[in-house]
Amino acid sequence: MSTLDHKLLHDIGASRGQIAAIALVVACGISVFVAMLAAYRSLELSQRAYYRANRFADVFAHLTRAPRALEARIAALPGVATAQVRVISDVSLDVPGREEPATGRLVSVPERARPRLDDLSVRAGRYLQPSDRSQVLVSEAFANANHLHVGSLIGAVINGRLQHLRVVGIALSPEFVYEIHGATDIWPDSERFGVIWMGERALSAAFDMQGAFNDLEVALAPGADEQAVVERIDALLARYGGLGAYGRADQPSHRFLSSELAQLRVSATIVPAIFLGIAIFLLHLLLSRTVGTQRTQIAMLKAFGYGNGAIGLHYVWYGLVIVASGALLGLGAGLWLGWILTRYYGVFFHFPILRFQAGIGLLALTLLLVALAGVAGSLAGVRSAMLLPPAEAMRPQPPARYRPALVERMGLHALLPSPIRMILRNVERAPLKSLLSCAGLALGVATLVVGRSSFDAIDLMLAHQFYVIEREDATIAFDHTVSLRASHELAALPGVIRVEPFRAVPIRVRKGHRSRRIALLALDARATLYRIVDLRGRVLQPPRQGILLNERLAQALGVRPGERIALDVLESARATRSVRVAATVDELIGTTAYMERGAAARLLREGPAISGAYVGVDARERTALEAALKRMPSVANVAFRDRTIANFRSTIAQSLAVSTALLILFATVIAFGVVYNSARIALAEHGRELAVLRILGFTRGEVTLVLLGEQALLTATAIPAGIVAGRAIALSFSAAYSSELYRIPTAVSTTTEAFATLVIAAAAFVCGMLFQRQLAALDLVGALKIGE
Amino acid sequence: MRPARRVLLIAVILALILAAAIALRRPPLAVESARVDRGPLLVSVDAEGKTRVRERYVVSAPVSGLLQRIALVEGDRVARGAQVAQIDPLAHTSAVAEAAAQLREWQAQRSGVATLRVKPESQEQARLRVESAIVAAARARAQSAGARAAFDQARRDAARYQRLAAEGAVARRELEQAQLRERTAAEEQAAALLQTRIADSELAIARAASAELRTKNRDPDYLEHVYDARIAAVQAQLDNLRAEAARTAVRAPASGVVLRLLTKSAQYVSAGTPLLELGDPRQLEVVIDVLSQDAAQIAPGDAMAIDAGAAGATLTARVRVVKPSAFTKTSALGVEEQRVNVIGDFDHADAGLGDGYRVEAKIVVWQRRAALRVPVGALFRCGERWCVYAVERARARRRTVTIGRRNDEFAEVRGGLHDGERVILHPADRVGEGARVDAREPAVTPEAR
Repeated sequence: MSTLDHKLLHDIGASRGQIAAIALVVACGISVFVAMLAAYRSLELSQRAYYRANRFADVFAHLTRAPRALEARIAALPGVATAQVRVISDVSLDVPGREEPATGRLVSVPERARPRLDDLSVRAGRYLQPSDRSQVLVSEAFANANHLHVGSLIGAVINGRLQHLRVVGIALSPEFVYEIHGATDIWPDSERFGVIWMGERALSAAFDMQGAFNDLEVALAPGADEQAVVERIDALLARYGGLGAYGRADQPSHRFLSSELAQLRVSATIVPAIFLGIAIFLLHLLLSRTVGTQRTQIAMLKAFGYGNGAIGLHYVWYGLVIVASGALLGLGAGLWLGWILTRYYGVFFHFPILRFQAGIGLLALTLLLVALAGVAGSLAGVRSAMLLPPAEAMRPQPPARYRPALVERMGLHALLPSPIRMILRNVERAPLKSLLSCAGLALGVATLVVGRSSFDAIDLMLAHQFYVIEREDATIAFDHTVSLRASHELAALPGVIRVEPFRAVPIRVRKGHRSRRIALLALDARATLYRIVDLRGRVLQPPRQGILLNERLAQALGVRPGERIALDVLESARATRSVRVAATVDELIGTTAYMERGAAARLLREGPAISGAYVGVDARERTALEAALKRMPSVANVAFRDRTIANFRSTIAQSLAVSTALLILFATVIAFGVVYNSARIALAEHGRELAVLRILGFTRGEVTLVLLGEQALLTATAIPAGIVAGRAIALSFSAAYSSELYRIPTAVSTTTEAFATLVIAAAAFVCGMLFQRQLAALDLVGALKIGE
Repeated sequence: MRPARRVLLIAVILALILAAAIALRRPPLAVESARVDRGPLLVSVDAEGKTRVRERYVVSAPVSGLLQRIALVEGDRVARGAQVAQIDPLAHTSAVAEAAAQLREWQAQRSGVATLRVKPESQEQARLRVESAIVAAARARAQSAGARAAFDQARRDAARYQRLAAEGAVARRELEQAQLRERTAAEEQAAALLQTRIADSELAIARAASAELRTKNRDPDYLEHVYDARIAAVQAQLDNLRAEAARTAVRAPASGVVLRLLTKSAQYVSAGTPLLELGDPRQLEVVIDVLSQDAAQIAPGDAMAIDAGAAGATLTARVRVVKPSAFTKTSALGVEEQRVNVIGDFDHADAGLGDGYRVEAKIVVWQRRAALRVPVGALFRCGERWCVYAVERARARRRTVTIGRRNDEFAEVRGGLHDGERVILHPADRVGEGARVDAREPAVTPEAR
């Protein structure tokens, strides 16, 4: 072991507190990096393996009804490798032990063979047998949420008749990795929505679809152009009521999974970058100071013939050891966190096998990152050590130049006690260092603000969607369009106070070459249960003339109010109309266009027909209402708003608790790292002066105040700066995550700000207390003796 | 530290705490509110129905035959008794002629029957023969009676002469003469008796001959009856055919407008085929089918608001009758329900609607002109009772209220709230007792044009 190695060990031992603080910051960054990337890789790997093994389709299409003979023609289209036709229908389910009806998506699967595309992974029980027509497979999430098992019986209203289905197996499909009901749903509600696979013959017979299909999946041949296949399929299916084919990018489950993966990847770079940045700064601080205090030692070493390179390398090693120790800790914690995170994703995304694999590549990347951080952090210190001429270095560092602080020059010195003046002078003397410390702490605050603000945003969305826009007690959807008479029928049900019928039609809006598939929601003018409300709280009326579009959608299409757009009705008659954009509305969910119900009926050339209704319910009669709705053959889905909200809240509450704990940990580590390091360095720098002050009669409290006051001042400055920065980051995040479909509002509540302030202040305060205890143990007078 | 500084420090700390408290204070919740007010409140049974012409006349083909194309179009006015359709009369007139010929034939046949009858002279002869036989018989019987009287006298004379002779009062010869006279009288009596029998049998023969003649005369009577019956039948048929021939011109049973043409083109129609519908569209009524449980609340005379859709103005009507019998109907949502037809008359004759138009009806079953009312959106259940959040000095206060009747917009307040008080509409779950609220009227932007 060389002398320099000895020195390294000694140096590390001497400043172990600071090193631990820096290592912790590094550990946090690395653990987040490793955890997120590992989760990302694991999910991506699981996804890819699952898709390949179960032959996930590439192009999907729904239609009204087409003869099965068409399957061969589709399969023969250029670019199509395999085609599979199915019958899919949503039905109302009577699940044992559940009061309200659930919705089941019945999907046909061949009885005699496995599906050619989107094969099922049977988790329990067995696959269907051709003998019994009532047997079904149930999706795992739905089965778990409703305590269903092999042998359970579920009642299903199929084609207006109650039928009992026997569960013979629990299964998963790559089509329903994320099992949501509609395209506008964000969270899965497995208690009330599930997928049920049923034999092709039985299902076709039940829906009078023998020899016909209403859903199509296609696997592409290698190298095929997806868009071309989509167009060919559209052309073929147009006369059968095709709703427009789409690729994986628009497949609900796949879209959610990929956007989640993309978000994970973004987070996996931003959060570690913040931590590593802080670590680099702290390392820089530590090394600069170490080089400063070790001037004489460096001079001696140089005098003994150690080259600049050797000395430089020594300090690089010093930085690397610190960072590496943090990285090691972070790697371990990261792998563990990554495993937890992956499993957490597994709750929402259903994979048959959820592999956890970090991979050598990730480890290598981590090491590289850590090495870069170490070198970057130690660069300035190393440089000054190397440039130091031995002769000059033999002399102690010249005292810093002091001058009155800005406040003093403004003439306020009389008001301030001398310790505070000292603090101010200290801060001003090293503006860059103060600024960086402040920035580090501010980033800690910002981390908290950003982390919490996503929940504030969800809260805001929730409040806007469920208390301002939607105020109905329940939404009832029918399985087909029915006469307006049905609204009187609903009004006569027990407990129904108010009924507001609506008509929903799938449409495609076009302007030039741009087109979007959206839903047209036709509402009654002066409706009070479901209103169109923009983000500023203005209530808009559904237009009697023209159509009301979402602002972002209008931008995407390139239309302004007053202009006309083409509108394809993707239902029954499938007419194309030209309609004027009456106005645009700035709302969160962008997939809906609005019209007044009568106007929509005229546009669709139909009578007073409705697709469902929003109802106000007397809570006392709710059970009776649920029972009545369960028995109605045409009621496909009933959603009670309070249950939807509760489901939302419980989903969020879980992730809120976990993420709050992690945020507090991270912010504390940052605050500790910055405050402790800065205070230690200040002590090292001003040890002599402080000792002198003590001798001059300053109390220990006042001396501590000088040391910690600087940190308190920096923390106090960092908090508002951090809040501002946090708001800015949150804004950019919401812009990044928002799409045409959803707009995530930026919301930072006072509670979030208070929380961030409190956490950082508490962390800094605890750190200060710890430091004060260390300070008390330190012999200040002894400090005067050294260095001579 | 100097006292001044200490004061300053404390002041700064207090200011900071105050600032923090202000910053952390939750902003008042923005809520929508409405005023409890007095106004009209009506509770109605809402249902869908249709208009129909009050008196509808279905004109159908009175006779089978070839219908000529109907020249009328829907909407044409027709006066009572005007011809609306024509069924080709040719077939009917020829049938009449045929029946008349048949009648004449039977009449001729009937007159031929007289020739078959017995001549009256022979009948008279027979009668006379019978009469003379009767006379002869009577005479023979008289002669026989005379002979018997003579015989009796002779017998008594003979007896007397016997006794006398025995006594010896008369001569024997006289006795013998008497006895001879007795024998002669006996023989004469026997001859008279025989004569009577001959006369009787001759009478019987004459009678039999007369009877045979009478029987012979009765056979043509039967034929006459047959012919009379046939003639009556053909006569009836002829009358019927004549009436039918007259009915081939179809006439309007009442004045009105052609509502529907059921058979327009020339074609063969059988009797009873509906041809067109007549009615007066200004005389409309509405038929609303309501659920049987709702029908129980409806009474004749209840006001109805009728909305026919795009027409704009709401029309008023009044319930005339609630049908006493319900029927089963499968609803739009596939449920079998019992429904009752409620018939109403429009208040103003010309409703501007046509026959069979779809209408939305609100049948008012309860109303109050100045009820204290609260929007139903403000009500929520607290246990078994209804509650609202009233706004008092910018704070939400939970109140238990007593609710009377309600419709889908307002509820009648019977207690717990006063006129002019503000209540929170659709309170979110963040609104709680004592929460600070910023109550606003719902801001509705005018519809974009």
